[in-house]
Amino acid sequence: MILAAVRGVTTITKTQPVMRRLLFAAAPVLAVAAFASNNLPEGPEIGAPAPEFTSGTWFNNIGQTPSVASLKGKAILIEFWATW
Amino acid sequence: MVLALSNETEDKVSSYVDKHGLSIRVASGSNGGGQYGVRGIPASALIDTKGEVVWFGHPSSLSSKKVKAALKGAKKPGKGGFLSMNLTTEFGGKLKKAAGDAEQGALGKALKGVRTLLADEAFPEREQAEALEAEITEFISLLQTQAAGFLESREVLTAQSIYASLADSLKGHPECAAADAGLEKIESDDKLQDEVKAAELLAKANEEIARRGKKKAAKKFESVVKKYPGTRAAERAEKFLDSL
Repeated sequence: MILAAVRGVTTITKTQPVMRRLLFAAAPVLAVAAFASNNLPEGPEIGAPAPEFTSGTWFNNIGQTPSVASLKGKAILIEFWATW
Repeated sequence: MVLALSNETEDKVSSYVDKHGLSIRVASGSNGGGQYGVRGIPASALIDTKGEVVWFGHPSSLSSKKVKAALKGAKKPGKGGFLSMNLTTEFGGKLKKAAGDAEQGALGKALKGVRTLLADEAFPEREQAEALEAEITEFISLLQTQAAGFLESREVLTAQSIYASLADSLKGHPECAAADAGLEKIESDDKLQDEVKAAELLAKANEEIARRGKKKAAKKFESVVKKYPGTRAAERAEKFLDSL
């Protein structure tokens, strides 16, 4: 399967120089796009102090307002979600 | 502790919580997603007892091994449920006992302990004792404010449970008066009593879901709507019935 795919690609690049040139032209753009997305962090730094957060209204909470600071000494699992 | 953060409005989240009968801690209007660099949901972050991020990713890829590691050395939840305080500073020496009581939710006992120490003018760790006393009384007023808020939004059963726990724990302290007054207000008001009964019936209806499934539990939800129209519990039951 993989071999066939590779062969397919080589056939394309061999038989369609236009496509080859197009890919060449797109290469710097693709590289910039990859660089940009690498710079956009996904998630917090592992091993670093957890970022503090604020919230509007809490449901099902009685007592101290949950935060990284107020829950010191406990483990926290945060779930980021939406109703949609 | 599990926290579910959404950046949506209070109305949207509140209605979702009602519809699905969620019981975990949920927040609306949270900036958490931005703070944690979340680019797609659902996503989760696991934080250990030192307050460090140990894992981030899609919730389905979180392993129990990671959770167990994060929980290592975590403070056990206090026996007093929501009365249990999470003290973020350590109190040693003679204050250790009172601090421990506060963490177990024995608020009256903790106050008595710290006030006895403060009554002795020669007590050396005066500043710490005053700080602990202030932390406990602030926590008590926070609970009282929350109870009043629940009463306001007709979550009467929750308000009653907070007042009753406070009254029980604070017997003999001046802080007990507000809790007693709250309980009396609920007991002497017929409308509030209906809210309590409706909420109790709704709780039974919710238990029925676990036992017999949503469709068979529907009848119980219908009876909440019929018996106690206009109550908060009836509104919740209606939302549940709409979702069937």
